Amino acid sequence: MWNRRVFLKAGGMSLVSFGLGPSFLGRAALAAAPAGSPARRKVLVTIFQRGAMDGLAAVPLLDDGALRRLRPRLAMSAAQSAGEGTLLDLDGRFGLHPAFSPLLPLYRDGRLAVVHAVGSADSTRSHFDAQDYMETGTPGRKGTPSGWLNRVVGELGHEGTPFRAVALTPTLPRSLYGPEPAVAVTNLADFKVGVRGGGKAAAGAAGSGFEALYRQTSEELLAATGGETFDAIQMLSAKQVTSYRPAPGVDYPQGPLANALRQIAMLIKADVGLEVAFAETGGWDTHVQQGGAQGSFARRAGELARAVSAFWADLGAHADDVAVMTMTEFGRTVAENGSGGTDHGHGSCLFLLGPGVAGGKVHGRLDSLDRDALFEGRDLPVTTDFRAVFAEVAQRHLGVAPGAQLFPGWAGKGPGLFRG
Amino acid sequence: MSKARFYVTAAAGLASMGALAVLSASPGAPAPAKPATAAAPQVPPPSTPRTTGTLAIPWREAGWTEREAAAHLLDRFTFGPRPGDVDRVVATGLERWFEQQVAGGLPEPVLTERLGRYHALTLSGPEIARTYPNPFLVARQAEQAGVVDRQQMEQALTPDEEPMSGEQGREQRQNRRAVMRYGMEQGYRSQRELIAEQMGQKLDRAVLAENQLAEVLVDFWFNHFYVSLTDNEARSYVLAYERDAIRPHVLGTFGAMLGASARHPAMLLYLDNARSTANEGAPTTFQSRRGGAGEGGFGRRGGFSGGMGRELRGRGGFGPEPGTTDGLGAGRGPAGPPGAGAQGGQRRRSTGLNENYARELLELHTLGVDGGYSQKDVVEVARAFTGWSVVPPMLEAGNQRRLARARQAGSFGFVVEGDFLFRADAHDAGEKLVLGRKLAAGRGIEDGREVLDLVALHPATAKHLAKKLATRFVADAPPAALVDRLAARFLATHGDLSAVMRTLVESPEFWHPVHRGAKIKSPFELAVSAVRATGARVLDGAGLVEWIGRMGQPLYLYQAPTGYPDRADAWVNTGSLLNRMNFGLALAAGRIGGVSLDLAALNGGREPESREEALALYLPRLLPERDLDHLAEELSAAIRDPDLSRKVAERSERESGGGSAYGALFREERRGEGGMDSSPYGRLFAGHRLSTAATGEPSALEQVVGVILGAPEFQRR
Repeated sequence: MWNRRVFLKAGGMSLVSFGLGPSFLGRAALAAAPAGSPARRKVLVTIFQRGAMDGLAAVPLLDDGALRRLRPRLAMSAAQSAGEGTLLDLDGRFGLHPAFSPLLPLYRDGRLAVVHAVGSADSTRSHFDAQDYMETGTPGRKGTPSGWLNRVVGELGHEGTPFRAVALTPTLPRSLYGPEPAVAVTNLADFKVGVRGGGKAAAGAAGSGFEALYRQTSEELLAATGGETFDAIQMLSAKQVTSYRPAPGVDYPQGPLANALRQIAMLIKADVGLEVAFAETGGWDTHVQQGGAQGSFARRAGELARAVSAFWADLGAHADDVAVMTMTEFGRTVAENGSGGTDHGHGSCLFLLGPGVAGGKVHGRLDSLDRDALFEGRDLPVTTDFRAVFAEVAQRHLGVAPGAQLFPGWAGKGPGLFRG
Repeated sequence: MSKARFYVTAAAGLASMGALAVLSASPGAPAPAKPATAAAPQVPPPSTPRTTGTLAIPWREAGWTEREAAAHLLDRFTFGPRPGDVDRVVATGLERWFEQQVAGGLPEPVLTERLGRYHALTLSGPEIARTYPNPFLVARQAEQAGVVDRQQMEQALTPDEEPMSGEQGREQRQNRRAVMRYGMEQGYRSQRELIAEQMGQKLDRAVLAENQLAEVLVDFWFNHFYVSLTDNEARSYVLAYERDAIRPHVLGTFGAMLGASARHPAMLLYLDNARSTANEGAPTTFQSRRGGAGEGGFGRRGGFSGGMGRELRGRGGFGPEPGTTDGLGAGRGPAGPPGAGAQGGQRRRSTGLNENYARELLELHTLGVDGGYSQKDVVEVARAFTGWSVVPPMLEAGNQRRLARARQAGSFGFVVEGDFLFRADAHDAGEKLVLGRKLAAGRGIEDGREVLDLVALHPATAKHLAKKLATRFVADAPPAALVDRLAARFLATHGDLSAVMRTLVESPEFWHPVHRGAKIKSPFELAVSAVRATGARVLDGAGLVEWIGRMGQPLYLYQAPTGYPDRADAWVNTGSLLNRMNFGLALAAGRIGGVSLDLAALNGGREPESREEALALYLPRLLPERDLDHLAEELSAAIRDPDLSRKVAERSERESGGGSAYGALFREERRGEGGMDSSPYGRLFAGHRLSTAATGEPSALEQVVGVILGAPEFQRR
């Protein structure tokens, strides 16, 4: 890591001092990539749905007797007569919650896949532990120092820029803990020198003052990272982050997830070297009044679907290099509870969107919702280990070889979510 | 946006408090103080110093001047020099100063008075847990008391990020108020208040303590025996953990600290040992001593119910939940009504052995990852610790009875001490083999104690700890000879930590010039050192705490049991470095809420007349005894930038709200029902600390000081 950063810094400096545009920096990093690697960097965008999404509300079995019995108030129908509450038919067996309808065209296009009955090898029903296990990629082990996305970055095998791994979150997520540099930022417009309300001139002066100080300091790490920092600021300011406009006709919804995805799209289009991005969305812990076609689940689902759909449209041709994967710490009880909601369960489902994805299909095994088939008699069983999905996505999309370095103690096989 | 952001922060655990965040902050009615021992908050008594003869610090031999050596001591063993500290250390004498620090007995009038503002510090650990309960517990209690029904309770607990509208919203607010009122009547206070106090006291101690080494070591050892506020269950125990399990031992013996951490509720809950029980079929201590199969209600299935509040929300889907009836928290005990346990809801089920604590005990707390233990040892250690558990904070009737019986059942091996509970009914009484040592069958709490003794003074532990200490106090990659010497000292003194610190400062490696300024400050160290260097006063900690989080170290909120890494490259990345620079500018310009500073006072009340003069005057004050010639040259070029002299009135555009978890936390508090002004929390973090009052162009002096604080040299210690 260390040598790479020094190398990059030297490259960045000379380019900037020759007056070339900062975007050149990203391309320079690409030029240094080993032969045979793709001309453009692939980008993996992960979205963590915190709170445990109800996979059976998102992608239920169509007209399933057991589901109807266990969810008398929540189960929806695909029948036309159901009107607004109509499930969208995915493959004759599974339906899609209508609030996810903005994603349906991507599914029909064969770009979006669903993986069902996915989850953790650990059966904890604690949000805290399950999120921890998913983000470290080591179910049952809390002490793993690094997050799985950080390890992915470490295995990319080529140089990176300061914006290689970015979380659009207030603090660095557990997924990105680790030795590889990663940036957590909620608002890219904050990525500059200066104090709030402090005046632009002073900020500009302090910025150039700091830049000179850091570039010449004798402490190597501070010099290298300082250099990167100012390169990064320059990159962003040249890309006019604050005045970013999405592609014509693209309308992101309100809300933190859409805001995060909009900034990720901006980073991708700005060609600043983004390779792994992290965003998150809350509100999935639907214990009360979960609702059907309307209600709290539908609102969260609608926001997610509209945000991802807008993001994808905004990317335009860049979408050829981007994969989006959702994840959630566990699923919810198959049966509804007394408050019109669902409680903590086990398996759930995830969405995978990208160019090579074997989309238009619901992957994974979900045989039956009869009680005998359920995990502990109550939850959707996990038939696909989330690590199998993550490892395959890292391998097929980012070219990271699967192995113990990515998911220590695990040696499973990918479920085959990509074409060819 | 803040609402949703609040929930989805990495501190996902904290988020779930959102629902009942303002338990004690309801309109106009200050929470009644729970009757408590009104003891003054205590600055910890000094550990008994073990004098080992006259200290000899080899700074001369290494070619340092006395003032440089004093500054180096201050850089490494304090949170940074205050104005005049180098003079004071020289006047005291370097050896004597260090001995005073190791003794930890300097009077603390300023700090003691300051800590008087923190209510929680006047309470014992168990009192804190019962005064600042998890909102889930309060809601459930309110339900049991008939204040709200089941559905109303669920509604009250639904997090804020999906605000209910219309009739539902009204109901939700109503139900929350009902639960809050109930909580206030019980004398409960908000966990946010507790967290604010916890963060505030950490800052105050670091800034104000005269016994600085003890504070630096509390920071180090807490991070070593790490527990996290992100854990719902452990949360209300963390302040007491730091105060009672870590602080008294940082200059005492390692074994005592290890033992205190092992039995503290914060650790037992954070690393799940509280729910680790003998595997199905294994004989328990209770059974073996009673000579029967535990039909008296203390079998594994007769555990304490009520849980700790981690996940008190759900219910079983339908029918009995296999495997959920064991142990603490999920009990559907024979004494309870059928199905009562289900109301305890879903949380981590104790399906027998849980290895988390055992693994981290060996890997993180003692032997180290390469310490020569096997997975089999982990399992055996986990078996040895089965039954090491916690008295549930809210004693329902059934639990009261069980606890009383546990106290009386001493002869069967139960132990109750404070909130520590050894459950003989959950302890695996079979024979164990730990690191080659055989633990005989039929024992109880002695198993865990023996394991602690075995690992506390193990050579691998000595090496592991020596390396961590040398990394903290000398360099990221400390010399092997130094590590070996510290490890040897540790073993020779049976884990006497003050002896190890003495050996450290007497080591030639500590004084090798290459290590001068070689450590990069953590964000907490940076913030505190800047406050100390500028003589700033911290009126309340919220603003600083938010900045420290933004720079990459959200206090007490790191999720992993490893604690924060102690390496420069973990702290220094583009985002955090930028925030460090901006922190320097913001502090110097008086833009950090709750912090007041008078830069002119540092110079006897006189404003310098030029930037150059400001630099010449303030550089040696803020960075005493560094290579000032070189620094001044670099800095004067930086501050001579023509733009810096241009007075521009235009303000930078109003930016969107602060991006940290704390920003969200505090905003959330403020927008909570009833606001924060009436709460003790409001008193603590009064006013608009986060939106800074000062605006406009910083003065030339503020800019110069800001550049010094944000400069690379100030990031080093």
